[in-house]
Amino acid sequence: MRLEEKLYLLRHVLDEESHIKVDQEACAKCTNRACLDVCPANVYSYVEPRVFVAYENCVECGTCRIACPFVEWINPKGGMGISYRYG
Amino acid sequence: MTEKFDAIVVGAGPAGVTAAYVMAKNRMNVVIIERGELPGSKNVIGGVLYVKTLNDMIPEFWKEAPLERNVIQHSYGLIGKNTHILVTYKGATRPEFPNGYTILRSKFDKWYAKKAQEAGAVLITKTNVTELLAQDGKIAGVKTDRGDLSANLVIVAEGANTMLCEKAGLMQKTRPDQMAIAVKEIISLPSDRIQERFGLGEGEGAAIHYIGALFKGLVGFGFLYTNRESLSVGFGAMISTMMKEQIKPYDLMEQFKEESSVKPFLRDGLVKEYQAHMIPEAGYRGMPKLFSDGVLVVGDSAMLANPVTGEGADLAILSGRMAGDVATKAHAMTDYTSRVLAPYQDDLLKSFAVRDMRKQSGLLHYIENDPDIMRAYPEALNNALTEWFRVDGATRTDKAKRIKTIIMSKRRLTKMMKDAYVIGRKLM
Repeated sequence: MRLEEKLYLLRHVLDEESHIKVDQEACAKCTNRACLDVCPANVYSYVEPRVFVAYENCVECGTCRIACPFVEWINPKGGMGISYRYG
Repeated sequence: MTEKFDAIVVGAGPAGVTAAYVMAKNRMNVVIIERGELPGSKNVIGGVLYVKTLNDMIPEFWKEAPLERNVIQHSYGLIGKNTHILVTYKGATRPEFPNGYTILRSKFDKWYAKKAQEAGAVLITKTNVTELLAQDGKIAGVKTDRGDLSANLVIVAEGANTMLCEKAGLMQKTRPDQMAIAVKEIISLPSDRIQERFGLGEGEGAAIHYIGALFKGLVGFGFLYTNRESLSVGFGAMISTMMKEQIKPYDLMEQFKEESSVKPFLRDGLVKEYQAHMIPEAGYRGMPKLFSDGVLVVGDSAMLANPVTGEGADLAILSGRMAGDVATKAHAMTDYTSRVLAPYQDDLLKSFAVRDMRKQSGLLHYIENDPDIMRAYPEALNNALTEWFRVDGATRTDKAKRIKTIIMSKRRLTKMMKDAYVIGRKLM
């Protein structure tokens, strides 16, 4: 099963504003781009010369924030973001 | 909002709700603030809820709580290259003395928050706390995206993402070698199929933990739990090792589900939900100061998790209870300073749970420095049994010799002795 299909199963309440910010200058210089590997929801993608953030797919684990010092990650607004049906 | 509470609890997970429950029972004016749509909306369990700590507080809670299965069967799965070993312990069926249950957080957390509400706590959902507010050098309230609230005491149960604690200077941001990432899928299967596949009776559950070649280079393990009408399957690994090996969690998840020791259990199941959550593995050494003037830190935020037993939710409850007790004392004395709150951390350090964590200090780092441990032993045992069971004309004496060679080839004897000493001492 592809990740896209799995992400499609999830219920999100969409916040119009992104809760994730990246430092594009740092991203351009970054050599390992840990965000691309560690994110379980494939929120990050790199298309020369910048990192794109599909914040609407974020499952709010916060792993990117730990893996990369240039990700500014905060909680989505109250009631928004991922809403697990099972957990 | 101008109403002042005795205490504000940030987060309606088991740690926060327990603290609120205790305080509300002791007639304190308590509010729980939860950012999710409902309690449990943001939460994921990666294991079993061991009943001990909750039962101490709400005796026989299993008679009323929405639980999945009473886990009476525990297995270790040792994954080899094309083979696997499954070692299974099955306990006696004694529903009157359960040890642990599988749970689904959306149901359980909702029920548990309701218990705190019945005790008198106020629950506010869909509200994100963005900052702890200080006044005269002590924490005196919270800033939320719906206004400010003040209180004599704030109990932070924000989970594994400790932004509030960091902002307030209570702790430093955790490092990749202190946190694990776990991904999990809920796979639906009819109840009778689950019971047949795992050899379980009605309401009985199984838990399997896997290590082995699949997780080469990662300090991580896989797991499989039975719910009433679904399976929880997934794995967790230290973030630092995921970064080093450049493995994508969802790729590994798919590989894991294809393993011969996993796949047959999942057959014909439908994926219902994909989840990811961090697990604090900073351990005893990484535990920050859990109190300051006007504030206590509980649950995942306090780095309470045991990678060996898989305990987490029960430790959250333990810390919530201890925090609730100390808060009650502080309230009675109308003194919410560190002086009165400090015994919370002392009590926690003396608890069985944290004494275990202390004993295990450095275990994960030992393995991370030599991750081959995670592959070598499962592989050696698998190859040894392959040799043992195959009838190929060699005598048993010859086979015993071959097995000795197999085991010695996987890891040097000096290393094995060191492993046995270090790991053994940390576990027992």
